[in-house]
Amino acid sequence: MNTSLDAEILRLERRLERERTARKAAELVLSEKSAELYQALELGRNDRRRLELALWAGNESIWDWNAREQIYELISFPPNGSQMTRSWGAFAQVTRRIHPNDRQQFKLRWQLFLSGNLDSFDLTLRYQSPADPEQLQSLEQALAGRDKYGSDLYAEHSACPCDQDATNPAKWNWIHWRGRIVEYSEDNTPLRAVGTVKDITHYRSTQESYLLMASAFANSREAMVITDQHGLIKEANCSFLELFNTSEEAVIRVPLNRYIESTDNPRRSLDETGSITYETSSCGLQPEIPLEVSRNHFQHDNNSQHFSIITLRNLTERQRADRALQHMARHDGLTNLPNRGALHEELEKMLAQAHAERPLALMFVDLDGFKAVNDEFGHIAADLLLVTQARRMLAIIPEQGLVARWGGDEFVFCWWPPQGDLNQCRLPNMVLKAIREPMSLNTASIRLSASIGVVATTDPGTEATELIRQADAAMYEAKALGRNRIQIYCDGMSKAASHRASLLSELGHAIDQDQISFYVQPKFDAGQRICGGEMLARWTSASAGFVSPAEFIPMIEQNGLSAAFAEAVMRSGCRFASEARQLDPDIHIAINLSGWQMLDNSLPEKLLAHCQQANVPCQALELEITESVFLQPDSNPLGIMNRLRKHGFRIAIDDFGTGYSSLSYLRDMPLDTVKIDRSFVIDADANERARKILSAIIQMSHDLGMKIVAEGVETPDQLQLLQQLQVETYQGFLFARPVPFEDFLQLVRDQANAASVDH
Amino acid sequence: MLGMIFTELVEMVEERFSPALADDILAEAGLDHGGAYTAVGYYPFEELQTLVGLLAARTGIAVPDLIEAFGQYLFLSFTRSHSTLLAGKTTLLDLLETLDGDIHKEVYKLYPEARLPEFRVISRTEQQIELEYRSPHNLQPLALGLIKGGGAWFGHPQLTVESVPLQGSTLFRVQI
Repeated sequence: MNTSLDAEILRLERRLERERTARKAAELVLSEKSAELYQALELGRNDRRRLELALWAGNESIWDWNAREQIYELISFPPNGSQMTRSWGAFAQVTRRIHPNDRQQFKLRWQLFLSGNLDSFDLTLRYQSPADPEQLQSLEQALAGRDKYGSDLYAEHSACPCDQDATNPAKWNWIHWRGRIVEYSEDNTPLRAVGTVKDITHYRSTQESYLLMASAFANSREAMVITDQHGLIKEANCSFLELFNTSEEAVIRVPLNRYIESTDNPRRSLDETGSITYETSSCGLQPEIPLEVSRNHFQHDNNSQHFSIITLRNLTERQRADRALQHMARHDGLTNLPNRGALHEELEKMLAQAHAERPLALMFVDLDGFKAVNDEFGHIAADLLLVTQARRMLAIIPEQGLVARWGGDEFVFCWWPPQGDLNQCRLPNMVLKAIREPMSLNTASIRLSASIGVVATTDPGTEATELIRQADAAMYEAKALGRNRIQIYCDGMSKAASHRASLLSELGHAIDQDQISFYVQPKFDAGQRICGGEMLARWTSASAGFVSPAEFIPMIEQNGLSAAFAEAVMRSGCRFASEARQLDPDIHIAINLSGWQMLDNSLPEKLLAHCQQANVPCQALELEITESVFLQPDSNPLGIMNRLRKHGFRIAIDDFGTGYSSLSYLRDMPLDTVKIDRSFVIDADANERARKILSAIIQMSHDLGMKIVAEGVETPDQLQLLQQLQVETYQGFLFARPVPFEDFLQLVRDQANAASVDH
Repeated sequence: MLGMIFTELVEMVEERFSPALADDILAEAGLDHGGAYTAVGYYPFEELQTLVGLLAARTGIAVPDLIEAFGQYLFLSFTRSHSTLLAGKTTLLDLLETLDGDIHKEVYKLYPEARLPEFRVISRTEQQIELEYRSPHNLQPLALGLIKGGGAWFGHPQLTVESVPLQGSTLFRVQI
């Protein structure tokens, strides 16, 4: 019994010992396990912290959505590095904060995502954060929000307050939303989705700005390239590719100096300022393109290699414009001939080359009658005429010669005459001939002439202005000698020209001040009674005394003074006629009209107005015209003459017998009177043949119903002859010289008184 | 091998046979630790073979029968200590189906060094499951005992378990 008890006790002790040992072993295992667990936990904690830091650094938040609650949890890591925050929300609340333009897209994607049609959710959208992002929504608030807005994203609720900011980009942040389903139910319905959300507003604006820059580079109208530090092209824009007619593939990693000429540009200045601009030209293009190159250094970031951005400006247009400007500055805009400035410049150069064996000639050309063309046909036609004449001149200018437009209707030639003697020189005659060629203008064909002055020098020291002045003086001489001619300069002409210049200024003043006086030379009838008088202009200059009409009348006509002078003639003529007819109602006054006046369509009206103002009938006025009127190239004075005669004005052809004296004028022109030139009268007195011609003309004129006035009757023999030929009217020193109008009136008055006594 | 296998085996011997027998075989086994098993420890598989061998010699019951009986005992023990694993399961087949997928996963969480057998589901119907059993220690009787224990616990009186040896594994066809 004791033995079995002892055995039992021993067994129990063994069991106790086993239990104790087992407990210690278990405690050891558990303590080791505990240590392991702690370490594992620490490791897990560190891993989690690391993940959190990574998310914080990436500015990302984690969202964790579960289907059962229809709630998401958002774990965020504030940028200030403080503890992470947790908040909860319902997607219906999120939806209300999404930009209205992105909202539909979000709803659609979310539905597709949850229905398993999208592997992952990935969307960038605009989102408006709550007014106070610090205020986090608790789970309870989120559940309340869910219950308020429901879980149906498509349900229409009250208007979202954020929508009123839809057009204000500053109110919205760009959010990148990503996620995956991590749990599915047995029937494959998503139970849980997890992902990240990141504010990419800054990234996006940087990206936009980058895209903008890239677009600016790509679309710049100026050719641009970026090269690396070895000068190899990294990028080239469209304008560059167009300029060199190449493709992007062909230029990348090609040295830039294959496209533009490298110059010895100062690298030093490039290094100091980081940028440089220089001019060069293209390589390998036909034709070569002039380029302005702007080169700027830059670094992508502080550590990267250097790059250059190079802007190329095509200078072709600018150089063309410069050349055009230069051309414009030196050329006359109308005729494209060199202008006065260019002439001076070229003339100085040519003068420097002149010497005894190589004289330099200069010719001053002034178109005759240009002003009349201008008045009659207008500026446009006159310009056309100048262009045509310029072209003709240009065609005959000898090699190494020059023709320039001096101004108005004046041109200057400079050339090297082959022979020293200007008289032998053909060019002035060729020019005159070319100018006289007829030309069409407004369907009419007209002919001009020119007055040309020529001068030559062998002295390289001659001043250009002096040489031009001398040619100008010679031209004036040609003009004074009756135009349409060439005059070679000789000493004294300049003096004459200067005299003429001062006289001209005085003449202009005299006309303005009505200081030209009019004399009247009486005309007598066959009974030697005064039947009228020819009004003749007389001018006494303050400096030069009496100036012959033969000198000042051409000056008036050549210098644009005619209109004012013609007015004075018409006004005085009518006044004279009016006063004289008060003494003798049969008296008429003859006035001289210039050729250009017969081209003036308004002449009849002007004359009529003067007659009315002086209260004198038109019949009291006789208009004396010269046959030069008919010689005017393509002039047609017939219409004007007819209108004048219709009003009652009488028309006389003056100086008949000089010049061409074409009988066709007598036949074709509506004339009342033919005034036979004094030279004719003088010739007829001594020459039988001349007498016969004179007789025939008078007879013919009479037959045509015209009356004859004989001019320059100075001797009784002449008078006798003219009386035999039945000339009606006489004018000449034999009867009376031109006298002041008052004296003429006295003569008429005396004659009237005598007649009344006779009666 | 998990310590709990040994503690449960000792408990079964004490309950079903006698504490003295348990003491004897532990003493006779001549173990380094003197048989002081703790459920949270790990012990060599050979110790289990030694203990079962000694038990068979003392009781005259064949080793496979002893191991199968231990399997049934073990299942009952599990139902007490790990009842959560049985939650939501209405038949034995439900449990067997989730052995590898759920239950062993949980075991590994607690005992990362455990070397558990694999139960791969070959087929499953309402009344039958076919499992391919693969174990490093080839304890088919233990598996059989566990299945039978489960059948008793779930209340399947018609339970039949057919065991078909395969190349390197065993197929259990369980019908309820």
